[in-house]
Amino acid sequence: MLPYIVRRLFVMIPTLLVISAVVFFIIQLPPGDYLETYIAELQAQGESVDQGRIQFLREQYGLDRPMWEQYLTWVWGLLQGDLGYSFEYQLPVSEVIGDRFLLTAIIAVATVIFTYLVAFPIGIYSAVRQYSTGDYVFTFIGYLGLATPNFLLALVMLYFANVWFGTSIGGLMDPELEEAPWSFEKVGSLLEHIWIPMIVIGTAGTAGMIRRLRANLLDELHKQYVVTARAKGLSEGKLIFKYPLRLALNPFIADIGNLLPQIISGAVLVSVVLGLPTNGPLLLRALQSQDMYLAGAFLMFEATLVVVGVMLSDLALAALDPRIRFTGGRRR
Amino acid sequence: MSDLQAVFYRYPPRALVGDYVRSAGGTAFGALILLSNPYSPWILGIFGGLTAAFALFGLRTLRHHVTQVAVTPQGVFVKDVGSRGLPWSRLEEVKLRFYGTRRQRSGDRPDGGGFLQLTLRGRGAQGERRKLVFDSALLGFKDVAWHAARAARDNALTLDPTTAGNLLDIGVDADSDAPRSSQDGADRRDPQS
Repeated sequence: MLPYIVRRLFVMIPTLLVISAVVFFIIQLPPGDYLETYIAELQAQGESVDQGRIQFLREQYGLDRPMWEQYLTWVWGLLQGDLGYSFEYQLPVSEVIGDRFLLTAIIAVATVIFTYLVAFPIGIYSAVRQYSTGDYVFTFIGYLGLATPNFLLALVMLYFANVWFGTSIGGLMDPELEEAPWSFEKVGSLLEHIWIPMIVIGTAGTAGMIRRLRANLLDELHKQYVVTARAKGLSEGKLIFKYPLRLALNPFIADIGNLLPQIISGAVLVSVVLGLPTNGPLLLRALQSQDMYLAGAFLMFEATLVVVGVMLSDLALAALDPRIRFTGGRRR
Repeated sequence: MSDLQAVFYRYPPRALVGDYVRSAGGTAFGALILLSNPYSPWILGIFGGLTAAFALFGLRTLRHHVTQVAVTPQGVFVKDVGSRGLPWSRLEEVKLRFYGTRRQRSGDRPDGGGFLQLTLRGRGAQGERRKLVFDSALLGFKDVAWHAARAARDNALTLDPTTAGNLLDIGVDADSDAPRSSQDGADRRDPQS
């Protein structure tokens, strides 16, 4: 396995360097920089702008240097764990991000667990009991879940939670605990609030997973080896869980690469609607204000997680299913 | 081991160039980052591990460079930094695995990327446990696989479905009389030489 891991790691290095260049130059593409946005905001508020101070800040932040030089400085810093400095918050990026990474990760993990716990039994049931009443009901719910935008579901849930329970479910904890240090009370408040974003963010993924698991499993259940296994008297449960389900799960393992970036992006629209203190709104704000090091750090994290996720899913697939497949040839 | 019926194989140096480049590039990159900031535990953990993996890979490539594999009707013998052999009659397990990305797996050409790894387990002449691993870059890899498949059949070993499928996919048939129609780069030594 070492040669395989090393070859995949070696591909990751230039991939991430190219991504870092693309990320940096795309963030720089809009005309102007953070300071010009800042000046425009001050002028819009009728405040005067001290050009000397602006020039000082431009030199201090290195914005007066050529773009390639800024890029190399940024990448070298990233490689040494220095995420840069946030212009807007006047703090190192690592401090701005702070607890948000943890909260985003908690929501992402909870959502993934919710998705798998709900989708797997339903997907298996729908495939094994194809065209039963239960299958039709779950399929209909699945279509609804796929068709409903997450932010709309968030608004609907906010409304009904207020009307039925008389509570505000925005945010991830009670407002008075947001700035408090971590305690049992804060964890309890988090658990009290987290189910809404978990359901809202997880619904579309759950519905999609049910559809795909059902389709994959149905494909496998119609293959000859399943007929043979039944003819040999293998029990239905053992048959399904030992053979077709394992093969039907391969696409989900291959999906790990898509799950990890969600930890960072954290469903931006839903976070804005529900007022969640996750990475999504911060990234949005950083992009709007051209806070390039903050936005760049988020985007690089996301890109790294995609690349690492794809590598992990390839490693998992290689370990679980190390077969050759020829789509144009004999086997598949 | 008699040279009389032995076929000798090596890893062609040209096939190892890529691995040398990967190893050197990866080790240099990791070491550069490590040296620039040696006191950060995060940097040490991430890039230290990376550098060690690339360095190990380089040593493995170097070993492949000096490896000679001899295949006879009696067994398979490997000479690199030391020498060891596995008689076919003592073969206990054969595994053939494919490692590739999803894109390579779904490629139309069997040589379109990725690589195969053949693992043979059994007991040596003195009864000690032996494990021999061959990569598909080895000239005559299919011949080794054919001998292994034939020995597995003769020893009544059960091949796992993945190995059986992969053997069929690379065109290895244990029931055929000869491993391959061509010599595939083999160095068939003249007993007089």
